[in-house]
Amino acid sequence: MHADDQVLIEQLTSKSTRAETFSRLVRTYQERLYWHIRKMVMSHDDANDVLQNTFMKAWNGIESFRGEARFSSWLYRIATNETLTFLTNKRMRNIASMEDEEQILLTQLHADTYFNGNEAEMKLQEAILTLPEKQRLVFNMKYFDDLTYEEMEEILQTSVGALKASYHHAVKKIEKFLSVEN
Amino acid sequence: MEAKTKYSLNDSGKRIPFEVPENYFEDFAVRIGTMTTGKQVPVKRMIKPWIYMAAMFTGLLLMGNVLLNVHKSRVNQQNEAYEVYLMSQLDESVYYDYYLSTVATADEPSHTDAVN
Repeated sequence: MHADDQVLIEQLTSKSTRAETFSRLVRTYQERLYWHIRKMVMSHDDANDVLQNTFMKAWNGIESFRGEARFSSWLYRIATNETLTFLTNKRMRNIASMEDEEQILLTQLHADTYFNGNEAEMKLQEAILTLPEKQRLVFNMKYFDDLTYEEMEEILQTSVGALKASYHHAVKKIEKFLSVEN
Repeated sequence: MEAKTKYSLNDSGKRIPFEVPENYFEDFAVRIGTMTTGKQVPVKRMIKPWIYMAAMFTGLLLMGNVLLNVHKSRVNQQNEAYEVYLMSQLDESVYYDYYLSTVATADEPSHTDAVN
């Protein structure tokens, strides 16, 4: 266990310091986790809901953090699971709809008032949306968040080899999508 | 000049092209703080009013039941007292006259018997 995490666990398990320590952790990780979620769910409102659920799950399950992984990886894992659950639920809700999930997210992306990118950035986001969910996750974490494969392995519980292959395929698909004139 | 429609990853860069509402992260941290610093209503306190209300209704029901029983026994007592009073007002000859008249009425053939 990391020395910092050992101190953190002690502070989080003590009633007198628990709330204050958790509040500090929220401020430290909220932005990173928000963008991690936002890149997957696209809409700000959905990202806000998933982020809130993530921190509440972490708060309620603080005893289950044993320190086998780093605290940041533990938080990332909760956020990832919450995001994937959210997307699955959304898919189930839209099962009767004529549009598939990619199309729905694409519509959301084009209508997003908080999108402030240029044409190339929009096209990249469109390309990312053509990837399968897990591949999208791997691409975002490597490309935008610059996480190492080892960190990703800890979060996604997938081997480094599989992650490298997944990222490689994702990049190929995206480059192909971007190179097509439309 | 036509807009460029073919791109590469280098054109897009690594910037995340989204924004958040103003003060979002500040507000979010405060919101989570509020949700986790014991300002949540404990379950005990949440169910307390319901317990009080249930106790009040049970009390009212019990009280209603007791009052109803008191009322019923009072009515019975009044009926008994009235019967005793009536009996005390009848002397033996009046009682026999009344009895014989009721027996005689019962022995008379009814209108429907006559028709048959």
